[in-house]
Amino acid sequence: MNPSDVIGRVARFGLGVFMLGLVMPLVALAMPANAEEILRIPYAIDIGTFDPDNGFEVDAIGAVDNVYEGLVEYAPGSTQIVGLLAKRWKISDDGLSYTFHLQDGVKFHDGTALTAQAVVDSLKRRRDGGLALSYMLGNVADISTLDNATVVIRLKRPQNSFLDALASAWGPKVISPLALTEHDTSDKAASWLGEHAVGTGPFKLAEFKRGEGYVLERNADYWGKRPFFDRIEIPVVPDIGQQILKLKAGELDVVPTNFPFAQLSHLPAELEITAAPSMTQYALFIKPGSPLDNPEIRRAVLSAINPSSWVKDVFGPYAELSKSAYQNLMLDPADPIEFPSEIDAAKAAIARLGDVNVVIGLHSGKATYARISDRLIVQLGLIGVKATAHVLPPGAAFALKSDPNAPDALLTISSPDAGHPENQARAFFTKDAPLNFYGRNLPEADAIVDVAGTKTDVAERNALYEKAGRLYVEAGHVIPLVDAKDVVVHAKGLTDLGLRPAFPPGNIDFATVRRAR
Amino acid sequence: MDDPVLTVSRLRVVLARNGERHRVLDEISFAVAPGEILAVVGESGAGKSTLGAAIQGLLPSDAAPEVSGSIRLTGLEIVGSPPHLLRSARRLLVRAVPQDPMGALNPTMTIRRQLHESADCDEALILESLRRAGLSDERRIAGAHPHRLSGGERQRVLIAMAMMARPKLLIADEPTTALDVTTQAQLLQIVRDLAREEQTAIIYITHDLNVAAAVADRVMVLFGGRMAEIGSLRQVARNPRHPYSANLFAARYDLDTDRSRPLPTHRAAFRHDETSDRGCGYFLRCQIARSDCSSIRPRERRVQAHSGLVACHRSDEMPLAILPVAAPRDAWAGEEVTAGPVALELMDVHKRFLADRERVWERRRLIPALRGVNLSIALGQSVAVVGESGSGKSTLLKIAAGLVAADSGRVSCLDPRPQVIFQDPVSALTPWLPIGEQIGERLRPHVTSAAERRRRVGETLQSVGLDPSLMHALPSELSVGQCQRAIVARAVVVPPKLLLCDEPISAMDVPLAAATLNLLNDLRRRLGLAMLFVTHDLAAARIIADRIIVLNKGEVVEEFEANMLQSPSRGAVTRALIEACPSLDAMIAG
Amino acid sequence: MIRGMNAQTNSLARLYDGLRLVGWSGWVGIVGVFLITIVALLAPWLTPHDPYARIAEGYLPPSGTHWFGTDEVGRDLFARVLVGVQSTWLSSLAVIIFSLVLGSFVGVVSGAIGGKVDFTVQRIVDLFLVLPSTMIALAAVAVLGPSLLHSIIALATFWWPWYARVSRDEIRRLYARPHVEAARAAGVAAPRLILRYLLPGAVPSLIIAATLDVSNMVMALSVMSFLGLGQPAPSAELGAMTARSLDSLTVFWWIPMLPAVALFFLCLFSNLAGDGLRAVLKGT
Repeated sequence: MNPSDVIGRVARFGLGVFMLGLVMPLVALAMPANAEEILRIPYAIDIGTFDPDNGFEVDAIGAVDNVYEGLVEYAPGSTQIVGLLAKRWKISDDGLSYTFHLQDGVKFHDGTALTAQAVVDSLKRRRDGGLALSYMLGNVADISTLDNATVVIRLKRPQNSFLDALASAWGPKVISPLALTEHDTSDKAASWLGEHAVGTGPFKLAEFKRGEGYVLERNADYWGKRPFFDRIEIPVVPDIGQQILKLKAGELDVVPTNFPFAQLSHLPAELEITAAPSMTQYALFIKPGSPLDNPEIRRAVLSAINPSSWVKDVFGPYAELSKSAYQNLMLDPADPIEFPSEIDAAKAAIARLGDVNVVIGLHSGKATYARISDRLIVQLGLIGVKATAHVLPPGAAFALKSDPNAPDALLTISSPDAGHPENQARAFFTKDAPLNFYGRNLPEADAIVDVAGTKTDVAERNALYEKAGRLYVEAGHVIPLVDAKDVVVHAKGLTDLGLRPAFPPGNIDFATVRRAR
Repeated sequence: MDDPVLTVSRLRVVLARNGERHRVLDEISFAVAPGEILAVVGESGAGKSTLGAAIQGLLPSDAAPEVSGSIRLTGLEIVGSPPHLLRSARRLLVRAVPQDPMGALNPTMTIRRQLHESADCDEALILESLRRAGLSDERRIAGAHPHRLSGGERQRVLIAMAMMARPKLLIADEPTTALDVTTQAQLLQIVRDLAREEQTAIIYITHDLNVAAAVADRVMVLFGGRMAEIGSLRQVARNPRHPYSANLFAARYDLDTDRSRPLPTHRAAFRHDETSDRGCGYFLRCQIARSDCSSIRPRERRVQAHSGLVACHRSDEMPLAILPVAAPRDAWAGEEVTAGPVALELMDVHKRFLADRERVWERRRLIPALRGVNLSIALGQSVAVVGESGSGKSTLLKIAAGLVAADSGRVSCLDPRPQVIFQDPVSALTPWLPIGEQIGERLRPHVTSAAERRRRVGETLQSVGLDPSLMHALPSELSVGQCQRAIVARAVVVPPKLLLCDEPISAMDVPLAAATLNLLNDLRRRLGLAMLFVTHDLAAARIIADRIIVLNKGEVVEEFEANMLQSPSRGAVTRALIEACPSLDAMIAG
Repeated sequence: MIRGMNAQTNSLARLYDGLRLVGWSGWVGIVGVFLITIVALLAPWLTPHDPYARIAEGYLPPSGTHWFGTDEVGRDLFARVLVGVQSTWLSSLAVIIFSLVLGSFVGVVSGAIGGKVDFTVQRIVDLFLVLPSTMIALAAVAVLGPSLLHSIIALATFWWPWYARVSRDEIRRLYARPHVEAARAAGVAAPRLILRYLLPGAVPSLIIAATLDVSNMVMALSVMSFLGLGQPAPSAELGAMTARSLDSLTVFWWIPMLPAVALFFLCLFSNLAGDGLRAVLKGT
């Protein structure tokens, strides 16, 4: 979108090569020739599939994104979209046609060269394959080559979040056409790609041992900047406590996510924290018919659970109050939502209204959910609301719509697949949103979202999204609580983690991370 | 006399039982010479078995034994010896024949292997010792596992095992209690031969004075962990100098005892713990005790009457005119009933049992237990059934009691619920119920008022010689004799027509057995019961019964009046039983 | 047996004799169990602070004002452990007593009737006993939804057969004893025979089995709550308290450790008490 950035990147690349040329002989002299730089990073959840089109991996998407590359990406540490395999692009005035000019000299891991046809094949596989992530290109009418280095995508309707969809962690990637045809056993090679990978990225998938661990090796023929690390070792360590112990013992270099916030102020000297802004918003989704539907009760409850009273206790400095139903990084609202803080009035209201019982369901057993819910329960106790909380069984959060015994509220992280308000609204709030947990419906807000999707002016469209979001909040569909930061704890000296706000937390960019000398 | 094999001096053993420490043996001193047989007699709990265990260095470690004094076995001190010395002493010097032979044999090994392990010798010697232990088919025995053998065979295997080691000392702890008289007689002969031929010293522990008389040279009388008297058996039996031994020997009975009157015995029943630490242990029971008996412990003294020792302050006054103190020894009142209504009648009764399979594919054979038995008991009459084990006498009793059904033949009983008196009185009482309640069970259907029931139970207790206040006591608070009386009380609280007794005295020491026989004899005469008395003890049968039936291999071989037991017209089976009966008087006389 | 001449062998003396057998460890256990029960019953009045309210900063280490420190939320950990002991201990006792009563009833009746009824009942009991009961209880709670009541019901359902087996075996053993034969020969009616002649003989074994089993039950319930199948938050359950703060073991050790230590003592005391009682009732 911003060509100067692409040029800047190329310039930086040139400078990098130059500097490398200067430094390399020195480095070669200074250290044994065979010394490899290895980064050891644990995954708590095993990889389901390595197929970039077919799985909603959360912990492992960073690895996938280091093996495969898409046309564009979010620049490390920002929501800015920059070119990747596309060195520049152009959007037609009607917003329907996107023309991408491909990077020169890119080769897949199997040695075949990147061509426009390869990009078309991969995008078509994503769109037409009936795969888990095919929905992301649902608005694409046509994909074609203009020449051997140019790809044209035509949309059915204007979609101003389309580049975000391409830059998303789960966005479409380019897979080697050779691998696709060789391993297609009438399943679009989905089963082979589940455990193998042939992309263009800075790392190759070297080992895939399900349940045990994975190894990425540096791609020696990478077209872009040479990564610092030669090898990324990714053991599967499900227990966070074990991850922490291994980190402290020096058996791991990083605990990428879920490090207990309370312990961050008690770290040993050899560890340090990298915190980055993130689109990790903790929110309560409310069940229709729950006591919180009563506006009086909701107001009392909002007074009690006002996050400003507890965010520091739970997160320390690593979170801020949510300003709207969208992540603060996604949309900076002109008129942030505010929680009332009239505890005494709330207490009186509850005393007047009689017994109020609230059951909170926790999306998973992760410690932070428990910390927040424990605190919410205590806060609600202050005004006389009896609250209980339990962890929902795996997958149960996605079936609350049809569960008559569903909890009154679901505490979950609302983070979309891409950093655009459209994605947030269409994932969580609109009538047919896949993550509209309780199946609630607010047609007037949905209509505003529809209108916003057609606007190209950023300020105008953001105002519309903000308005729709406020309606959802005021109707009691959702209570946004806090935006937590992405906190990575790692051995001292690790830097340039390349954490992207729109990616799930802890997804370090293996291509940029390095040890400071 | 040669140097003694065993010298015990001032032996004291303290054992912990139920968390309390008891002095089980108190200052025991004696010696046994080679080839000598010393009988150790005394009532149960006198410390007889503890003595045997202490000599072998086998006191139970969970009883935390404290042993002081000295046990010298051919010069080797046992007390305080390290375990490996005790083990080699047990292997080379001292062997034991226990009461329960099955527990002493390894059930998974053949007899041959066990003998081989025990003495490390060749096949010929194994067969030879088995033959000498009285096992004529030694080859079959050697190849068999213990459970294939009968009780007598097992006991003889143990004796063979003990003999093969050629020990200096053999300890036999009631080895014949569970055997019938003919087997017992054979075993006693083997033990005697062993002492004579091998010059083995033998300590023979028994409660049966007749057995002691049959086997022993000397006798040691224990009471309450102390030695009451020791001396040559013949002299002690003729001239007991301790009032306890006097009682013991007076209460004995054999085939020549006067059966027309009660046996001479104490009437009083004692609580089993009525012994004293200070003074004389026998003080509370003694009829001639003086005040100093309660405070000064009598020393063991030589006595003039026999060459042994006695521990009694008043042994010079023995024998006393008042001893033995007994119930009035009038003859039993009333003529013996000969014709009355028939209380129990068995006509041609057959019973067979399934044998254990020898091999899995074999059909289980049927073993005849009773083969056409005829028996009839009139009301008021007492019939004893005697026979060796396996003769079918227990089966007969169970059929009479209705606990087992006969295969064929007719069984008619006047009483729908005849009462049974079992062998072990303690286990026949429910430990957690007061005995009064247990006795009163049979009154429940007849007497609804609890007060009336209590009165009747009290009366019955009195009639069996128990204090009515004992109705509130639990069985564990009673002595064995009192338990036996309580069981009799339960049987007669509602007088049955028929009373069945299953070896009720076989495990009792002499005074207790005599008292039990007196009690049963008295009751059946007073209440006019028919009684079936199953025993292997001919002497007891003769005293209790009007008529004796001899059973052999499931058949009645002879039936005769009790008075006619010694008649020369008796058959071979009966004569063998009579001859096997050890008799103290015969021994003293001879 | 030599005894002091004044030794009165009445029941009181027998009881005293029995108590001597308990041994110091048994006494520690019995006194411990007694105290735990008192504490459990009085927990609501003993807690120095509201166990559910935030009364201080979170993560305060143990101190004079907060004996066990505070938890993540700032609730008094001592108060929460007390309440946890109450719920774990009382519900363990409840399940054990329920199982004891139901199991003994089934076992005694089946043992006393004998024959086909006994055979059938024992096969059913076998079926229950071969099932991995804690696993199935876990599965059942997972299906029913986590709550203390569901845990108790699920565990009790799978726990009683053990007592049926113990009591039935005891009854059959007693049945063959001469004193029961004698009682039957004396014409004691069946209900009276069971209640007076058989059951009292089985009670010691059952009490021993139950006492030793309390710690199993404490563990089973704690495993359930550890796995998140206990009561929902904010209730204080020892297993859940340990599980939820296990990741802070190395930094805020008191939050997971002290509930676990409390659990350890519950199990230790009930085991010691069971051993002590066994010494009294079985004389070993």
